[in-house]
Amino acid sequence: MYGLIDVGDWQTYVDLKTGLELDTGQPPMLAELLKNSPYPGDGEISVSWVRQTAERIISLYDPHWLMLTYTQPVFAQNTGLQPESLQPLHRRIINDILELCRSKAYETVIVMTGAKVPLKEEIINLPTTGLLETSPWGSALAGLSGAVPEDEEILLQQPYIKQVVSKTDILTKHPEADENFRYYLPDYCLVAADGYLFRGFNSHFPKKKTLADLCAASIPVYSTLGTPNHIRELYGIMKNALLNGKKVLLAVIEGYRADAAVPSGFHMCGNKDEWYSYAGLAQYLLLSSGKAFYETPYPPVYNRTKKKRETVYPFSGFFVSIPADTLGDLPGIRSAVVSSRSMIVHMAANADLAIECYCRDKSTMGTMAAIKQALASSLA
Amino acid sequence: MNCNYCEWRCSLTRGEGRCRMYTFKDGVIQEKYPFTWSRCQAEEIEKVPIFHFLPDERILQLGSFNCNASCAYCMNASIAEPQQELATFVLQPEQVVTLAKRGQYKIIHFGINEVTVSLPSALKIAALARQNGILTGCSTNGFLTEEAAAAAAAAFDFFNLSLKSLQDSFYRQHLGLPTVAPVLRNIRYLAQHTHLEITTPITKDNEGEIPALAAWLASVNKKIPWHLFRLLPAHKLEHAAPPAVMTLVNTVTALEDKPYYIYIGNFVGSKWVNTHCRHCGETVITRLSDGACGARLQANYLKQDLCPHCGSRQDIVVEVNKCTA
Repeated sequence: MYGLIDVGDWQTYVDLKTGLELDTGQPPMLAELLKNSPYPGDGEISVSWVRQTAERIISLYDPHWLMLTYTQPVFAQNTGLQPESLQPLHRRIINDILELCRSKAYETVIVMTGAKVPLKEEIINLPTTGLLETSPWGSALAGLSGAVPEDEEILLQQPYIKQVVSKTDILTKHPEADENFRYYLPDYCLVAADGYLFRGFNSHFPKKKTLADLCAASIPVYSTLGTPNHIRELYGIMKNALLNGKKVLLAVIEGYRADAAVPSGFHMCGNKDEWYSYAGLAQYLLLSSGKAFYETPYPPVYNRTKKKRETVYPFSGFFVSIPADTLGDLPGIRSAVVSSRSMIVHMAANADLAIECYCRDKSTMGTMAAIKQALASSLA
Repeated sequence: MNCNYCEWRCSLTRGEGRCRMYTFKDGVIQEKYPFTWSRCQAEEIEKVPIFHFLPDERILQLGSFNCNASCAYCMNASIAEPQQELATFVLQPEQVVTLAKRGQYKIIHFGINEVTVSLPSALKIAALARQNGILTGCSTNGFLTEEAAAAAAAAFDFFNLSLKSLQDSFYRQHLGLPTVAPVLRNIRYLAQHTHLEITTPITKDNEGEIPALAAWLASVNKKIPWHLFRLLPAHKLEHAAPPAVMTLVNTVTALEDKPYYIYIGNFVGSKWVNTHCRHCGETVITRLSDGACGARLQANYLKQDLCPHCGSRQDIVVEVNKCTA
C-alpha cells in the first residue's frame, strides 16, 4: 500500500509499510484530489469535508463500497459541547450521509460508536503494584501491567471496576491468539463501572472531563440492508449486498450520548463479545473484516510499556500487517474510505483508496491518501 | 523573597509568581504542587527531539503544568496555560524510578511543559535516578536563572533548549518574556557543561531570522544539533498559516555560517531529519517524521560512534558512564 501525504504546501509519496519515500511519482489525479481537499480541523466544519471528499472520490472512482467515518462529536464533547448541541450535530451528520446515499444510490449502514455518559469520577491511581494503563484520551477500559498475585484481589475490591479479566483467562480461552496479541495484552483488562473513566500511564488528555466512555453492550445502528442483532453480522450483510451488485455505504459516527434518545430510524444492536464491548480499532476491524477482537493481532488494551519502535507501517498506529478479508479487499469490488479519524481506518478497511486527515498530538498536519499499488499504477 | 528559578525572579512574598507554581512558606521557597504531573508516558528519545544522545533509546516522559512564558502559538496551551482544572496525579521520586525500572527505561525526560516551573521535583527525581543508573534530561525555554541552569546542568544528562529568536522584541511580542539575553547566556553555559540540542519553532514571523540564528549558534559551537520546527501555530494564532516547507529547506540550503547538523521537522514525512557524517557526507542515521515534534529512528548505521563509511568519530553520544550509588 502506498501513501501520499499532503501537509498543505508540500507532498511526499511513501511506501506505507516501510515509510520510505517512493522513487515513482505520485498519481497526478490523487495529488490534485488531496491538494483540493485540505482538512479544515476537527470542528463541525470537517463534517462537510467528509461529504465533499467522498463526492470527489465517487466522481473519480465510483466505489461499490464506501466507508465514511465521523469523529466530530468526540472532539465537540472534549471541548465542552453540551448535550443539547450534540443532537443537532448528529442530525446534521446523519442527514449528510442519507442525502449522499440517496443521490448516489448507496445502500446505507450507519453505526454510532463511542458511547458517552456523564462522568462520575476519574480513576487515576490504583493501590496496586501493577501499572494502570489506558488510552491517551482516557477510557472506560484499562490494563494493568507488571501485576503481582496480590493485585487481583485489590482489583476485585474496587467498587468502580465492573470487570477484571486476566490475561491468563483470555489466552486460555483463545489459545490460537496471534503472537502480537499475546505480547501486548496486559496482565489484566479492567472495565470501569458506568460513569467512571480510567486515566493512567500514557494518558495524554490533561483536562478534567465531564463525560466518561461507556463500554456499551449495544449501540445504535441504521441499516437499509436488514436488521442485525449484533454488529458482527454487518460484515456478512454488507458482503452479500456487494456480491449481489449493490453499492453499500458504511458510515461510522463516533461519540454519541448513551443517555440521549436513539435517533429516528436506528435500533440498538449488540456490541459485545464475552467481556469486551467493541470500541476503536477492534470495532473497525469487526465491521470491515468480521473478525472478533481475539481473532486479530491487536488486544483491546495495550501494555504500552512494552511498545516497540514501529518498524512496519509507521504511519498506521499499532498495525503490523494489512488485515485480510476486508470488505475493502473483495475481488471485483471497488472500495474507498474517507475518514476524519487518523491512523486507523485506512488500514482497518484495506480499501483501494482511503483519504484521512492526518492529526498528531492535537495538531492537524494535513491529509494522507492510502492507495493500493494496482490502483496507483492505473492512475499514474 | 524573590524566586530564583527563572529570570522573572518573582516576588513570592506578594503572591505566587508568574508561573503560579511556587510559594514562600516557612522561610523557604517551596513548590505548590511537588511531584504533581499532568502526563506520564512512554516515548522515544528522537521524539523530544534529541537526535545525538543515545539514539533509539526509550524514555519515560513526565510533564507537569503551567509555564513561565505565554507563547502566542503554544502547542501545549491546555497544559502550559490551563483555563480549567487539570487531571493531575502525584508520583514521588521512588515511584518514578520504580516505573522506569519496571519499564526498562534508561532515561527519564521532563518535557511537555517548561521544566523550570517544577524544577525542585525534577532535580530530586534526577538525583534518585542517577543513584539507580538512570539518565535524565529536560526540555526548556532556557529562561532559567544562572543558579537554576547550573543546578540543572549538574543534575540532567541532556537538554533540549528552545531558542525562538535572537530579538528581545520577538520574545516580548510572541512569548511574553522581556528579553532573550538569559536564554543566550544559558545556551553558552549549557553547551560547555552538558549535552545540548536546540529547537527553534519557525513561524512566518521569524523565518527571516534563520541565517542570523544559524550564525549565532555556529559561533557557540558548530556541533550543537539544531532542530527547525515548521510550527503549526496553535492557541492564539491557530488560524495563522505555517511557513512553507520548501522555503525552510531553501533557506537552510543557502546558509553559509551554520551548525553542522540542521534538521527540519515537525511535519509528517519530512526528508530532512537524517544525520549525515560531517566529514564524508554519507548518511549515518535515518529517521522518519510521523508528525509532531521530533522523529523516529529508522536505521542506525554507526559503528559505535564511528561513521561506517569514512571511520571518523561522530558527534553523537552512544554511551554514558552512569553514576551509581
